[in-house]
Amino acid sequence: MKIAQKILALSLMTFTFLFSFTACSNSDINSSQSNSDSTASTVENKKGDDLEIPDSIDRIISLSASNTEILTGLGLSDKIVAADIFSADAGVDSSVAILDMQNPDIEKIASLNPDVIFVNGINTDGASDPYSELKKAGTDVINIPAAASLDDVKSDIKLISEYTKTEEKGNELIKSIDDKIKEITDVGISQIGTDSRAKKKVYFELSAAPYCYSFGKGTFLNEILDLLGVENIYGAQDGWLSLTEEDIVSKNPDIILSSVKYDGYDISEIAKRTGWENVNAVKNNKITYVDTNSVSRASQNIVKGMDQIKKALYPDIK
Amino acid sequence: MKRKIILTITLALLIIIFSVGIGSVFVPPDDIIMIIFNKLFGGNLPDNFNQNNISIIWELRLPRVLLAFFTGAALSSCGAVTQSVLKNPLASPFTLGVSSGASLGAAIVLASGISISILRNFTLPAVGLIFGVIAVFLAVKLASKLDKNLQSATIILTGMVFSLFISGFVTIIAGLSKEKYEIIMRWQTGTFSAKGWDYVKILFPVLIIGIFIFIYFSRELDILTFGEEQASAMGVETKRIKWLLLIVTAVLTGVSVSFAGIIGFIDLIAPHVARKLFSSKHNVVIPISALIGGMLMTVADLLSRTLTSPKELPVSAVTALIGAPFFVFIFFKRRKSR
Repeated sequence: MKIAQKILALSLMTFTFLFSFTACSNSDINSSQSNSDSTASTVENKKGDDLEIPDSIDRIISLSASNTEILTGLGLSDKIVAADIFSADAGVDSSVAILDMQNPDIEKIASLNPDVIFVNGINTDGASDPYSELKKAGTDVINIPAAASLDDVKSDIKLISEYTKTEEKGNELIKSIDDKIKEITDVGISQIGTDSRAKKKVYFELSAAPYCYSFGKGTFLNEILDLLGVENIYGAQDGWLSLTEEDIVSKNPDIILSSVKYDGYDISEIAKRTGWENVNAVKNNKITYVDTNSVSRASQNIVKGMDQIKKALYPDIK
Repeated sequence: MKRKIILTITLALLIIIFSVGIGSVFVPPDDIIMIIFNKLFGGNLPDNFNQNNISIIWELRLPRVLLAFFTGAALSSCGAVTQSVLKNPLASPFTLGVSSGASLGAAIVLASGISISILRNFTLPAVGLIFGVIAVFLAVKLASKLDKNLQSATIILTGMVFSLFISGFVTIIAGLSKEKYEIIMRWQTGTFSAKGWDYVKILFPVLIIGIFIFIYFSRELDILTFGEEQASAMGVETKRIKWLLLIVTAVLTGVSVSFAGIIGFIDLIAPHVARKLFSSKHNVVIPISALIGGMLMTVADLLSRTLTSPKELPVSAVTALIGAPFFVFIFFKRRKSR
């Protein structure tokens, strides 16, 4: 009898507790909806949502190095109050680059009282929105997913510059990308001429053996290789790839590019791999490092990346 | 029994040959035979022979297949011994903290980027091995301090507590070193890729010596499974034998884990399958567990490199995917036939 009473009391308590919670969150939603009905000029977000352009932005948080580079390029680095740790070399002070991009400290972010947060697809796992509380507090959260093409990079710059009212600078950055695209396209055409069979085969390594990673089509790096008149040995595959060594060896690339860089890693390791000695690139010593940051970040600095890849492929062209 | 053993050995050889024949790249079977024959017995291959195919078969695929087989064999024979010594069907070498110890060693090497010059490429496996063995040593030492008789339950508990404690450090190191985070995490999932012959040449003798020691103590292991009191009554020095066998297990597992990463599940199921299909006598269970574990690991690696070719799957995911149904199948089948 006593146990039955206890169970009853416990379930009542649980019920009341849960009910108070749901009631609470309902009222939150209502209040946030009533807040957002002003009309101002808008800019279209990638998802297609119209985003209101604020009159002034003083406090920005960026949670990906690509976006930090774009913001820096637009002359907004002094407005960035916090960024993810990878942004430390993207033009902001290292005392600002403190947030963990995969698991951002929402309390810390809220305490900085930002006007806007630029996030990358990586910051949201899709199942939950860690920023919902911040949105309710009136902070704009702009999600800029990883760029899959050079066009994406340009439209990201366009979006951020329109939102921050720095279109003039933004157009400059976009023009610098367009100019570089034209330059490498010309180089590509002049190098291969009309015979596509003359195309050199390139393997671009993003992670060293034993975990060989590269990329296929649907990436801006593949686009750059394409423009430069070389053939990515995985150009027929999609996206980012984890590869078997024997497949790379069998594709017999003429040139190997690597953007692998960390303490204790030396790119000369590639030439010493067992089983790779008959690969054309190894035999002819065509293995070159390209700067990790310039080729991996979708910002105006991709211009440097394009330059680096061009020099690696065609060292004789000035 | 003899026929079954011969059948198992034949099957193991067939799986090895099959795995060398299939890969993410197609190499004609007659070429493969020519390459291996040529490498083993000398002679000349035709001048127009595809040099990259030679590298693929002899330097990438064959050592990879053998490393997978020997790793599976090492982990499974250690699994059989640990299950018997600790008298727990769920015990595995990993229960004692070898893997978390090795992970800590690997994480330190990867995060700091240090390289010991005489060890060169073997810095990471060597440090991993040392840390793995130290972890087991400390776990068993702690157990013997807490419990003079070194009861199995005490060892398992201290081993698991130790494992979790060390894993905490690994997570902290990985979390703090932003550039290496992925490398450390990837190391833990394990792979047989890009190891070459050097690793095979070290693992093979260690495996043979380990299995030899286990079989040498198979009578003691048989008695230990009956219970420690009976074993002591029959004159088996349970504590010393436990110490010895656990340290040998730690070394053998440590070498495998530091070479290939943490690949679980096979060490757990292979001994059970061996006992079900053959007998519970340790002079049979140990070599048969090794063969079954070797076969399972080779097949798992084969699938990991061919299923989504040219992309590679993490082998530890495949071991669980093929291991679990295989385990259920063997047990279900046996139950029904009885």
